[in-house]
Parts: sequence; structure tokens; C-alpha cells
Amino acid sequence: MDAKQVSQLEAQARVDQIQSFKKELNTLQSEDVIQLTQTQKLKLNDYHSALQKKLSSHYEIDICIESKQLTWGMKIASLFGALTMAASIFFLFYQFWGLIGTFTQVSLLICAPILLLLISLYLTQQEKHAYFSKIAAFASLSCFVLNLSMLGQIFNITPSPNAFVIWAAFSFLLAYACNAKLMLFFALVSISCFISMKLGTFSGMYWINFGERPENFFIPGLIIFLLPQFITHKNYLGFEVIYRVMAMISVFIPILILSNWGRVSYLNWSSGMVEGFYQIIGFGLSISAIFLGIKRHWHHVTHTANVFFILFLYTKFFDWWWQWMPKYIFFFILALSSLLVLIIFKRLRLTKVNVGAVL
Amino acid sequence: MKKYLLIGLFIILTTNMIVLAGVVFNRSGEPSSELTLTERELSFPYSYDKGENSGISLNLHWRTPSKKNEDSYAYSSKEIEISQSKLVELGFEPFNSENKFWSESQTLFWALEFDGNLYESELRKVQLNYQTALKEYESLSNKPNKHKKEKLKTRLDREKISNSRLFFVDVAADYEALASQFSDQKNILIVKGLTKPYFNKKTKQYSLLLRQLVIKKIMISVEYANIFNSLSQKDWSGIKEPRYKVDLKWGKRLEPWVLSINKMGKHISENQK
Repeated sequence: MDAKQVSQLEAQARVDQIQSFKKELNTLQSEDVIQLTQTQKLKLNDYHSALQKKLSSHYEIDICIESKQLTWGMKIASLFGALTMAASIFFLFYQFWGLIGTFTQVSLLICAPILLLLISLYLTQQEKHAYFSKIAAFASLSCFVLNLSMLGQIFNITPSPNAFVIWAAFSFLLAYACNAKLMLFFALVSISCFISMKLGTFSGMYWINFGERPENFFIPGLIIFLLPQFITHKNYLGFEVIYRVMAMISVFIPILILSNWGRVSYLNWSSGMVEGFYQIIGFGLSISAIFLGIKRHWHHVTHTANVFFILFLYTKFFDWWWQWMPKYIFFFILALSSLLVLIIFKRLRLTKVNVGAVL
Repeated sequence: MKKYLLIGLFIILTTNMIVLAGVVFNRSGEPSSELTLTERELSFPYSYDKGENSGISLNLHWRTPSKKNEDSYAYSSKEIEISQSKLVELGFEPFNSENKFWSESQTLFWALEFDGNLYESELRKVQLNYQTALKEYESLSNKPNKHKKEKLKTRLDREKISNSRLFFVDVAADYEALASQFSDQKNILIVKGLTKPYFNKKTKQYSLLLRQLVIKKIMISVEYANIFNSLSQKDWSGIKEPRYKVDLKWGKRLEPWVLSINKMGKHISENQK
């Protein structure tokens, strides 16, 4: 196995597979199902050790469950560190900016994101998993956001939605340079906002009020969902998940809003008709997404669609029954519907297991 | 990694160059407006926490003229009545028979008059009301008349000393049309503002809600920080003379900048530093 030709995900999957194989082999040997000779055992151990060593030299691999837990801890600490560093930079600047001249303010605002960009790119090359570089990258993004927003305040500039596309571009750059999912999240949020704002502007509204028309989020959602089909993310662990889940959220939440509050729709129908229309769309789309997720093995798509299907369903139940039905019966019906869903999923799972056994 | 660095530097530097070029462009050539506003029109922020934010930005206060049968107040309704033809002229669609009462907010050009006929008219109105109340009190010196007289005296003093003299005059979708309409008046300020139309089903009347100015705060640079550091926050319940006046210009993009700030009796300008 050439370590350079596999991705981080594939390398970790292979190591996990080795650990599982070792456990299963021990179990089989203890139950006298199979016995390996000493030569075979030595050969197997040597092969696995060499492979793990080779993969570890290229990627930060978790060999055991303890190191996996530590990795999770490091990720959480890295995320927390990034967010708090960004907040600190914001408040630091606000604390002292009124005490320095305009030229110094502008110089600091321009130099800070550049310096932190250099630091984050340098750290990315030094570290395998790049935790510190991700913190530096997020700090660089924060400084760039501060850069444009503060220039706007200092010079009393008319606010513009174009700042969001610039921030999105910078976030995308940092996401792919540092392999940082947090940067990708902010990039997608920024680009969704920008496209929605522009669509809102085309319809005649002031760009800041883009949220007043939830339909503005449909097109950016669709674009973001389709992007992973055209961009390979072999070396970027989890990026496709972020793209698809963000896209689904940006489509389903507006549908949920419109299915309960039809008057904010662009459609020139009565509120009732709009709400009914979007309720049907919501159910149809969530069911379609569940089946798409199952077919393509996109578990994140299935889970997200499940969540929204349940939200649509329970919102409908609430609309129909909450006012007049006794509360204990209402919640009992909800419980029954959950049991029904459980039975359906169990049957589907059993069918899949049987098909798998036959194959 | 080198390509990421180059792209990143390109994004940061190009964006800043464009922004600063826009500032230079705004301040080049003839200004669109030039006014000297006081604390009456440019006040301290309501919640100025110097501890966490050392920057100072002043809020721009403006008013709409009171209606004929309405009293004059410092903080008016920020709403004007308009005709359907004016609504269409501004780029809004008349409400359809479905009447969802939902229309988008739009950025339009507002003309504001400073210390002009509209302010004089408001002042006369308050004076007249006060004179009427005074005569009523002189003819019948009871408690309600006394209270009314004192209230209107306070209102008159406020109107003379502390209320904003910046009044909304007109709105248009086109800047040139508005500028040519007021070309002979030096006390007119044209800015961008956010507006939203409403339709009253009962009275069948359209009105335009003047939501806010696009630029409603003006940042003060550190050169003038000392003036404001010595000032306490304004007591809104009292009637106080303004403590400073600010010379301002508005440029080609209708974005303002400060030329100088006067503290009572002292003149400090950027050029004299």
C-alpha cells in the first residue's frame, strides 16, 4: 500500500480495519475456529506493524481507542481556541482603536490578517494534523472581517453585501490551505448570505433584509449541495459532509418557515395556499433526501433529512391537534408515530440484512 | 502552499485598495453637501461604554415635520403620507387586491433640510401652542391649565435649544432629480435612507415609513477624542445648550467626513494640528 496515494480517511479506515481484524482473530483462535502457526503470526504482525508505521509517518493516525478520544479532545480544544481567539481579537481592537490615529488603525487592520495568514500557512506545513494552524487561520479570518468592517466604520462607508463574497473567498482559501472544516463552514455561510442578498436585491429589497424572504436561500443551497459533485475532496476529510449538510439546512429551514408563515413568500398566492404548497414540498423533499442518502451511502444526508422530516411531521401534528386535543392524547399520538417509524426502519433494516446474508 | 499565500495576499491587498480608493473618490471634487451640525443633530451614543469600546461615533438625529393637527415632538413618527402616483414613482408597486400588506424596504435618496423653513414652522407651532396655553392659564388659573402651560413651555425651550433642526423634506428614487430640485438651497443634505411603504385599508391611504439612514453614525477620529472624553453623557430629561459643533462634508458617494469640531469657544481643526 502506497501511503501517499491514500487519503487521511482511507489510512485511518485501514488502521481501524487492522485493529478489528486482530480482535476478531483473537476471538476465533480462543474459540478454536482457526489456529495460525507461529511463522504466520510473526509474518502478520510484522506486516501490520510496518503498514501502521508507514501510514503514521504520513498522517496522524489513531492506533487505539485512547488516542481517538485524545484526538477528539484536541479537536474540541482547537475549535474552542479558534473561536475565543477570534473574540479576543475583536474586543482587543475595539478596546484600543479609539486611542490610535487613522493611519495606524488602517495599517494594523491590513497587516494583522496578512501576518496571521503567513503564520497559519507556515504551521500547516510543520504540523501533520495542523491544530495550531487552524487556530491561526481562524484568527486571520477574524482579522480580515474586522479589517473590512472597521474600515467601513472609520470612513463612514455605505455598507455593501460585496464584503460577504470577499470573506467567503478568503474563508475558502483558508479552508483548503489548512484543511479546516470550520473555515469551510464560514465560507459557505458567507457565500449563502451573499447570493441570497443579491437575489433579494434583484427582487427590489434592501440587501440587509434578505432574510425577510426565505426563498432567497434556495438557490445558494442547491449550488452548495451540487458543488461536491464537481470538486474532488479525497484529501479533505469531512468537507463533502459540511457542503451537503449546510446545503440541506439552508433549504429546509426556509421551507419550514414558509410552511408556517406563507405571507413572507415571493409567491403571489394566499398565505394558506403558500403554506400548503411548502408543506408538501417539505415532506417530498425530505423523503427524497432520505432515499438519496441511503442509495448513495451519504449517512449525513439521511440523518439530516430524517431530522427535518420529523420536524415537518410534528409541526403538522401541532397545527392539526394542539388546540383542541387533550395534551396527554397529543403526546401519546406523537409517541405512537415514533413507534411506527421505528417499526418501518426495523423492517427495512431486516430486509437489508437478509439481502446481505443471501449475497 | 505558495499559491495559497499569493492568492491570500491578493485578496487582502486588492480589497483594501478598492475600499480606500472608494474613500478617496468620495472625498474628491465638489462635496454634495456641507453643514455645521451641533450636539442637537449629532449626539453621543445612548450607551457609550468607553471601557470596552474606545471609538466614538455620533448618532445623526433627524425629524419629520409634524402634521397639521399633531403636536410637535422631538422624536416624530418618521412616517409620511404619499399618493399612489408618488409610490409608483419611487419604484414600489401599488398593493394588489390580495393585499398582503407586504412590500420590500428599499434604499432611496432623502433630502433633509437643516435649520430652514421646516424648523421655523415647527418652532412657530410650538410657540403658538404655548401662547394659547398661557392665555388659557391667565383666564383660568387652575391646576390642569398650569400643568399644560408648564409642559408647553418646556417643549418650547427644547425646540429652541436642544431639539434637532434637521428635517426630512422629500424622497426620490433618483439622486439627480432630488439634487436639481434643491440646487439653490445650501442647507439641504441628500443622503440614502431605507424606506418601506404601508397601506391603510380603512383610510385607503399610502404612507412611507422612513426606517433609517443608511449611514446613521459618524465616526470621530482620535484627534478630537479629548473633546468628547471630557463630556458626560447628555441628560435627555434636561434642556441643555449644545456643547460642540461639527463641520461636515458629504462626498460623491454621500458618505460623510469630519472637517473640524468646535468645543464652545474653542476651535480645533485637523489642519491646525
